[in-house]
Amino acid sequence: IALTEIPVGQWPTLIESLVANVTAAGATDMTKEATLEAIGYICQDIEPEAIASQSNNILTAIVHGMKRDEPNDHVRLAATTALLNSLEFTRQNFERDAERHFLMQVVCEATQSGNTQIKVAALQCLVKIMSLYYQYMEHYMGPALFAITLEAMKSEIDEVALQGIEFWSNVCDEEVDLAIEASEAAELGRPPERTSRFYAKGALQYLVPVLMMTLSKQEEADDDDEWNPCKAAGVCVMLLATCCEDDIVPHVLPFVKDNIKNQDWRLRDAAIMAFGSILEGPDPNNLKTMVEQAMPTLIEALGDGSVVVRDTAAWTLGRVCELIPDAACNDTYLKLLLEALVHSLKGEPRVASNVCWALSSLAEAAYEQADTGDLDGEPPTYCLSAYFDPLVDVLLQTTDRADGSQCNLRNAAYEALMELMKNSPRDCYPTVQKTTMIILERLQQVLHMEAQVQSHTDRVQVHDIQSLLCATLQSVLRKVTPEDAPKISDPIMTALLQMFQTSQGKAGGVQEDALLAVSTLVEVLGHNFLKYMEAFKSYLGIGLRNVEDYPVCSAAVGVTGDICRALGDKVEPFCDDLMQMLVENLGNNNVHRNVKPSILSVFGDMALALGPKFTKYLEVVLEMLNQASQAQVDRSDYDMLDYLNELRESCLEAYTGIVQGLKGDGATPNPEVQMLRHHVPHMITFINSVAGDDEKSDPVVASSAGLIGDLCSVFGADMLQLVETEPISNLLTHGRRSKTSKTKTLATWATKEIRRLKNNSSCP
Amino acid sequence: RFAQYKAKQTGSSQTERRKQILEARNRKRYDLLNHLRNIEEPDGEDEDEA
Repeated sequence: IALTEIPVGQWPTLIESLVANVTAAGATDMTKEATLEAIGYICQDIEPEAIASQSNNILTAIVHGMKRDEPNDHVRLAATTALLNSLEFTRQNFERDAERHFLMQVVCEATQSGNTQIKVAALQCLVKIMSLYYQYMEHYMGPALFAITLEAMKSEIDEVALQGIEFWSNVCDEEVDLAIEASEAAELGRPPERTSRFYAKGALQYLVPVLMMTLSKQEEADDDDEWNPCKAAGVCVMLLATCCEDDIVPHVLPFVKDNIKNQDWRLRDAAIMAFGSILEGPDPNNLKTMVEQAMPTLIEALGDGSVVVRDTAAWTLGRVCELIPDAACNDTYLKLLLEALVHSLKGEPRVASNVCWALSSLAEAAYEQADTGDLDGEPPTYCLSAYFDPLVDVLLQTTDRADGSQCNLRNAAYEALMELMKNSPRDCYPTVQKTTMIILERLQQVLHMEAQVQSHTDRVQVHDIQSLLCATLQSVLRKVTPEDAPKISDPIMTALLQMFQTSQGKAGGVQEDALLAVSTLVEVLGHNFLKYMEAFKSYLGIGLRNVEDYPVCSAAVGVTGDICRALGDKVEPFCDDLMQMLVENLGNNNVHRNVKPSILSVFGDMALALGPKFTKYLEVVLEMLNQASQAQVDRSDYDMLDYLNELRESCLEAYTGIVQGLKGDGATPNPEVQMLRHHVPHMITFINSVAGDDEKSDPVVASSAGLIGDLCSVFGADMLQLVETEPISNLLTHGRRSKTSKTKTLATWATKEIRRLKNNSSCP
Repeated sequence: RFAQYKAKQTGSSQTERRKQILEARNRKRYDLLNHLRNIEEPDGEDEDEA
């Protein structure tokens, strides 16, 4: 009731009554506990701004219940939990020294309670306080927090140890963010608003030994979903490495060296885990020699007697392939590593799944490392070429394993296959061709299978496989040469159409991946896709109308744009229907907002495709753009600001497509472009408002510059008085200084277009 | 936190695939418009510096 009434100004006496319940002289323990629980629930779920003004009262009640001499543990626990829920809106209290000292004292005392639940709740408070009020913690860190949390980390009670570890994981998260803020501020030549106190770096020598000890407390069967101190320690070491970079290496390395070959599997596993966890953060150049030295041991550990060790070794090798790939892609270790990985691919699903990931990273690294000869082309060969075909074979076998649904193995194997395809050089093309046919065969088989499955579980599995096959199809299609594409497109399109046909009740993921596969086919076939349009258009329509499942709708909108670009004016016979559905979706409140910007961009694609024939849609589209370009959002919400930028970028793309499309690509602009003349002032007003927005994104600057240049090249000297304004001039300067080449290129081009007009107009 | 334990990131998860398709689409739009505008991308600057 409070959650409903307080935000609308009703029941103003509630909090006062609750406080009185707790602080009254004769209040019973039961009343106090129930009241504090009620306060806790209110604080947990209410909008912070609705209750921030009551924070003093609330804290009075909470502190009263939390104090050291409160004899009843139930009351103290309820109070501590309520404090945890109120931390976000008690900022004003934390900003005042005396109040903060008092609150911190109460919380620190509660961490020393003999009652585990109170101790854990108080430690949770410390974890949250560290994130919310990092800048005020210096006073408490040395004298209290450091000792309290280190002691908690050593606790035999898992819940307590977890909070101790979480405290330091949080410190790392916070200090990584502060490091980013500091470097951004340095780039802009101003001091950062908040600075790091480098607590993590300072505490390394104390934290690492405890974490190493915790890492070696593995459960015998640790592959379930249970969160425990050992796993938390693994994550904490990883975060410490990201935060402290090179400084962590000398603290961890002695433990690794001493234990990586220990008789006890727990210590071997802890050593490999610690090693794998510090691979990201420190300078890769400093790690390279160390990793190279460890390679033989890590490869050997893939054959360890303990499955836990094999799993961690496979994960660590995956990290090596991802982060220090030169240590793996070299003449000394590559063959040895691949042999061991392929062997482990036949092992337990958890191990094999990590191996798949290692192979994905290896493929990417090898491709990156390959010598392309020229700048753009595909490399002729690379270090995996000799192994490519057998690797693809063994991955295809892995995707077929009966236990593939365990540990995400089937997905991991398909993803590795996709990475291999994506990162394949020219000499592996025959294998890409062969794989395309295998995937197509599998797609046909699985479509056939679908009709026969009875149970829900089997159906889900079949749909998962269909989705993965469509995704793999995308990766192979992207590699197929323009000459080969038309030779295989008929059976591929037939299979995809069949998939859409049977898509009734099918998971959205399948339909989305099938639509994305069509996108890829459109891309490789270009105007040759036209022959499939009659058969495909109704399924495209079903996708566009799939309002409930917005990724499907979004994929359908994307395909529509791709088809417009690929078919050019040959798309015309289909446009009336497509336009009607797109316009309906824009006006439909049930369509997810994320779909709407891409619809606007597709208007631009269609205008470019149709040229002057787009004029029949012009009024309705310009009206839609007029509305969308005036959208405003809640500026305190970062997600909404991102959305606003996305929406504006799409409006600009649409305007650009329309201007360019109506103008045509001939030497003289088509007369139809003059139909836009009376909309030009609105476009410029829109650009001016974008230009004056401090939160504008780089792509918005790029698209604005593009549209300014387009308008100048179409409407000539008439534009000068409209574009020679301070906001636009600042926008273009901003764009020319951008780090993104697209933005820089467009802003420079637009500036030159304006200059050209000025020069022309000043010449008699 | 659990997702960070022995975390594996691949460029081929559905989220990544979606992202790559969007990027490719933006790139195609940009290339087409550059062609229409007669803009030549400066050599070696087709990748973002950031």
